[in-house]
Amino acid sequence: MNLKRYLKDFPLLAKAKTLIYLDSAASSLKPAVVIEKIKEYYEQYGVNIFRGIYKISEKATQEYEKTREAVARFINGRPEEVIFTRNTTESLNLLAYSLVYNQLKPGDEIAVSIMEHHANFVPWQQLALKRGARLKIIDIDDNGYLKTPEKSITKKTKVLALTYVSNVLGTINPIKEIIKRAKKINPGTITIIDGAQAVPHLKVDVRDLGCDFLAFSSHKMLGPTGVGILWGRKEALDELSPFNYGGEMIKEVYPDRTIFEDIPYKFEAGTPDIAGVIAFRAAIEYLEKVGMEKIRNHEMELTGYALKRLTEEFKSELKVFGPKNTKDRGGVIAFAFQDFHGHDIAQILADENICVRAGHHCAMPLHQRLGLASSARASFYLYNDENDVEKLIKGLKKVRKILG
Amino acid sequence: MSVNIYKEIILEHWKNPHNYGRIPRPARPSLKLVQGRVLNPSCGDEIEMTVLLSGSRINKFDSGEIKEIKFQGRGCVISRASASLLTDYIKGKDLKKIANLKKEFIIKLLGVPISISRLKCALLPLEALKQIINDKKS
Ligand SMILES: Cc1ncc(COP(=O)(O)O)c(C=O)c1O
Repeated sequence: MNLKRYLKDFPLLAKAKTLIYLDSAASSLKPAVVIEKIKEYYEQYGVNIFRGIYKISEKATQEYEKTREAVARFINGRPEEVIFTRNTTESLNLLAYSLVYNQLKPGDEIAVSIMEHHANFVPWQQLALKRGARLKIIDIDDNGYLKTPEKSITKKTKVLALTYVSNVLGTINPIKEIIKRAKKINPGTITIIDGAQAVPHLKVDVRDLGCDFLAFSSHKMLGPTGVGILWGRKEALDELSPFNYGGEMIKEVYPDRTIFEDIPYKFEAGTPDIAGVIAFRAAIEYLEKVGMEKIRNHEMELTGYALKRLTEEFKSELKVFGPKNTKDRGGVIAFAFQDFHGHDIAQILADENICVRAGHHCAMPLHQRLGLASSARASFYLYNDENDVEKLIKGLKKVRKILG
Repeated sequence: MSVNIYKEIILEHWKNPHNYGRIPRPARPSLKLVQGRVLNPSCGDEIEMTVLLSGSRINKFDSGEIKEIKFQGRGCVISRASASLLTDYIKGKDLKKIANLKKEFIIKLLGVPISISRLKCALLPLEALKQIINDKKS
């Protein structure tokens, strides 16, 4: 992959030539086409959608709906199955409260894994507490793989909520297999996939996966902040009741009753982040143009390179978490370096203009499982290359020099 | 560009923190052991402080000298150095002093530029210390 071709598309990288951005798992950088699209909306048709029977409102509505089509195409769903939210977190909470809350009976079970981001853990934990359901937590083995997930599925399992790719271990879970086995044990289990770290980096096909729901965020895949996606299989979405009531989501309102819009509109009450949604299409088209397979291969190679180089340079001083085989992991490398604290590692790297993240990465249960308070994490995207890895290594040597 | 938050003196307090550990329960009734513990939710760090007070009146330690103070827990360079310096400072002083300690004081005590993202680390020990006052009241 010719990186130089992509680097120039990202104004932040083109401008700050010394910036080493290794925090795309938190949020990716945005290419100029996305930023320009936001500007285009505000400058040329920056008005509200749906309600206006005038040209620029119709244009805005069209652009908004084109993103829905692009999202559907991107994950092989149907446009009416795509709901816009604010982020992955909101998509998952929408499911927890609009679908599961009312169906959950005491004694029912919800299965999650220990590697979940809090966004796909806390809503289920709280729901279980409120409704007297049982939260079953799928454990991991020493290499960061899920340990026999089907053992946590029973006839009582109402929901299986799993991340596709771990934002700490990098593990790519065999979601398709797990869903297949779960549905065999209990066909009534609602399968919910947190795709926040998967959709930006892998080719995700919802029909192939066989899941009921998929949640992800625009801002982690070159798009604007403020836009999340909830995809749901049409039959599964029909079971969902609206969460927010108000404008845009109704067909008819009478003093004593309301007839709601069809999906997906009945879930999109109020004025959405119109500019964000519209510009998100530019991000999707950018990714399509580069090609998801190419991105995946690039990240796999780069991760392999990084793992090799980190081991060469630091041996047992530095411990990387998660699978050793790059085929099974995304471009996320969380590590412990001697007994240095993540904050100190990140701070010293920051002084070298290297952006990594330190802390529990919104995965406290996982860190407790690993026996850590926190870790440092470097993560890659299509604009990173070997040079970034070498800079990271140089930075880590400096960490060792200062703290060692 | 400021690696200078990792000045010699800060690193020294991190590597060899003063007053590290935990004070055992005292035998004498004129001494009282109180403690405070706080967690930094952004990174899971925690600090526990134990303080040995000698009060003027038995069982009523509204004021009193901090005879001994120790801290333990896990944290970054900044939070540990801050705990080390703070415990050094407060030892031997009257308990009443704690209430008046402010953010600015800690920053001055550390003597290095603390960015917004590290402020929580720097202030964690002070928070633990302030909890001591609450613990004493309960
Ligand atoms: C696996 C995973 N799930 C969920 C989220 C939450 O995403 P958002 O903050 O966009 O809701 C993240 C983001 O860090 C993530 O990595």
